[in-house]
Amino acid sequence: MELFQKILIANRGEIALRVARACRELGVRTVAVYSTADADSVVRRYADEAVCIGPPPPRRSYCNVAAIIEAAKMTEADAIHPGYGFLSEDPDFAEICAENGLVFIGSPPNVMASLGDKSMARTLMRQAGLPLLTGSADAARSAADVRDIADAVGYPVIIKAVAGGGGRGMTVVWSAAELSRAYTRTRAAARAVFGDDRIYVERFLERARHVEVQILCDAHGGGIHLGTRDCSVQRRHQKLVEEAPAPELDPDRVAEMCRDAVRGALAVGFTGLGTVEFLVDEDQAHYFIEINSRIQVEHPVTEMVTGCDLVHEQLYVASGTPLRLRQEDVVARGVAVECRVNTEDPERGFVPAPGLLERFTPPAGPFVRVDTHGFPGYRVSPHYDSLLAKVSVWAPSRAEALGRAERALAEFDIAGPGVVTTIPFIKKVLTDTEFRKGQYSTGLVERLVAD
Amino acid sequence: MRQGSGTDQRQHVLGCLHEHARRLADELPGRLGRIRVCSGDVIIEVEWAPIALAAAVPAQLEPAAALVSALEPAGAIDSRAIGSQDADSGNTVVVSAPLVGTFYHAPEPGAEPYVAVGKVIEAGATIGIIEAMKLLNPVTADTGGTVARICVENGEAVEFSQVLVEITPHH
Repeated sequence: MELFQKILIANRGEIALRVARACRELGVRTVAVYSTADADSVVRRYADEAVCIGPPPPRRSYCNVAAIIEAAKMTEADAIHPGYGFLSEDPDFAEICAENGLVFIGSPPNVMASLGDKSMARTLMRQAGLPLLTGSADAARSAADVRDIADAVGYPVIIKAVAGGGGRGMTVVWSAAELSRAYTRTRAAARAVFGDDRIYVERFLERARHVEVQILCDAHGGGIHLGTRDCSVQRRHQKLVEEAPAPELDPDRVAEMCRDAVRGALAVGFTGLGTVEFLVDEDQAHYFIEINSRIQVEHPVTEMVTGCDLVHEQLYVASGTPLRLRQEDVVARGVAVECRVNTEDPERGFVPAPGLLERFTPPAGPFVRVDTHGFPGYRVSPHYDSLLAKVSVWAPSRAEALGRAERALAEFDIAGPGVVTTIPFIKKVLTDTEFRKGQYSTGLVERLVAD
Repeated sequence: MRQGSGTDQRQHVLGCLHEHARRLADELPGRLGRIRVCSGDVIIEVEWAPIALAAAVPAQLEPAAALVSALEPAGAIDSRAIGSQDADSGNTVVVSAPLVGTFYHAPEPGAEPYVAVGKVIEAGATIGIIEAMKLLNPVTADTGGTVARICVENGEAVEFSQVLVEITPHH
C-alpha cells in the first residue's frame, strides 16, 4: 500500500509542525496553510510549500473549507490532515474532501456524524454494551423532561449539549432549584456555539477521574488500543496536565476499559486514530463519555510510554494499510507526563495573555520532549488557542517523571511584554500532595485555584 | 499608497507616512533598530533591533512587510506585492485576491478579458473572476485608474491576498 505523495496540513501551531515532522520522516511532501496572522509561523517555513488561505478569523481561514480545498487542488496534495480542533471532526468537510478526490485523514464522515452527536453516540455505545452514566436515553425534549430525568437520576446532574465537545457546552446542576435556569442557559449557549440547542442529562460524578483510551483502527476491521491517559487535571473541562498510563488503577479494570474502547469503536465502524473517553468513579467503575476521532493534544504521553509514533500510524491506516501493530506488540513502559504551557494568566481566571516572546528557550535534557511553534521573536496571536508549548517527560516511575517535569518546567525561559504563562500554576499541580499520590480527581484544579 | 504630481500632494503623502511610521513605532513592541522614510519614491524601511537569540530571523523580516502592507489600500501582505511596489516606484494601487482559487481574466473562455494593460477603469469595475469550489466570484477594483500591470496569468491559482492587478490612480 502506497503512502501519500503530498499532505496538506489544515491546521496551525504546534500540531501542524508535529504532523509536518511525521510526514518528513515518512518521505511525504507537505503543504502548510496559514492565515495572514500566521505569516511568520514555523510550519510555513518548515513545509515544502505554503499557501495563504485567509485573514486571521478561523472561520475565514482555518475553517474555510473552500480555501483549504482550493489550496489542496492548487498544490496537488492527495490528502488533508486536519490536526485537532478547526475542521478535524467536521463530517461535511470530510465529505467535501472525498468529493474532490482528497483523502481526509480521519474517520468516515458518517461515523464522525454519529459520534459528534453525543446523544446518538451514547445510544450506539449502549448497544455495543459499554457502561454509561444514568441519564437521558435521547436528547431531552423539554424542561419538564429534564426535570423528570434529573429527579430519577438524583442530583448533581450535568446538562450537556448534544453537539458539544472540547469541554464546551455543559453545566453542572447541584439542586432542583437551579435546574430550569441551567437548562435555559445551556440550550441558549449550545444554540449560539454549535447551532444546535438539543441537550441531554447525565448523573454528575463529583470525585471522578477523566481517563481516556487511545485507539487505532484500520479500514479492514482491525482495532487496537494503546493504553490509557489520565486527564483529570482540568479547569472548566480544559486539560492542563496529562499522564500515561492513568495511575493507581486496578489492572483488571483498566484491561476491561481498554477492551470496551476497542469494541465500541469497531461497533460503529470507526477507522483511524481516536480516543474513547471515560469517567472513572471512586469504586473504579468506568462510564463511557465520548469518542473523539482526531489526534489529541495529549498524544505525546502515549507515544512516550509505547514507543509508537501515533501520527505515523494514523497516516498508514488512512492510506489503507492494515494495522502494523498487533495488540500484544503494544507494551507500555514507565510513565510520561505532559504539561500544557498556555499563554494564560491563572491569577486572572486564566484569561489569554498573548504578546511578543522576547525570550523563549524551551527545556531540554534527558527524556524531555517539547512540542511548540514558539521561537524568540514570535508574536503569540490573540486570534487562536492559547496553547504555546507541550512539555512532555518520561521516566521509569511516576515519582521520577513528576520530578523530571518539575525540572523541565523550571528550565523553560519565556518572557515578553504582556506574556504570562500557566507554568507557575502547573508547578503547583505537580507538587500537590493529592496529585503526587495519584489519587486526584477532576476537582483538583478548582481547589488549587481557590487556595 | 497614493502619490500626486504636485509638491503639496507629495508633502501630504510624506506627512501621512511619517505619521504612520511614528504611530507604528510607538505601538510596535520590541526594540526598533532603524526607521527610514524617503519622499522621492515613497519608501519606508523599518529594522528591528536584533533579538538576543539567533533563531529570530522571521521577526526581522515579516513586521517590515506588515508595515508596508498597512499603507497599501488593498492590505496586501504578499512579498511579491511588496517587490512590485518597489519596482514601480510606489505610484500604483493593487487589487489582491480576496479568496483562494483560480483567477480568470475573462467571464468565459474566448470572451474579451475584463481588463488589459493601459485600459482605464472606474472604481468598482470587475477586473477578473476567482473560481473557488465551482463558484465564480467577481473581483472588483476599489480605486479607478489605468491598469498598469496584470500580475497573474489567466487560469493561474492564487492564494489569499496575492496581488492580481496594479492600477495607476488618476488625480
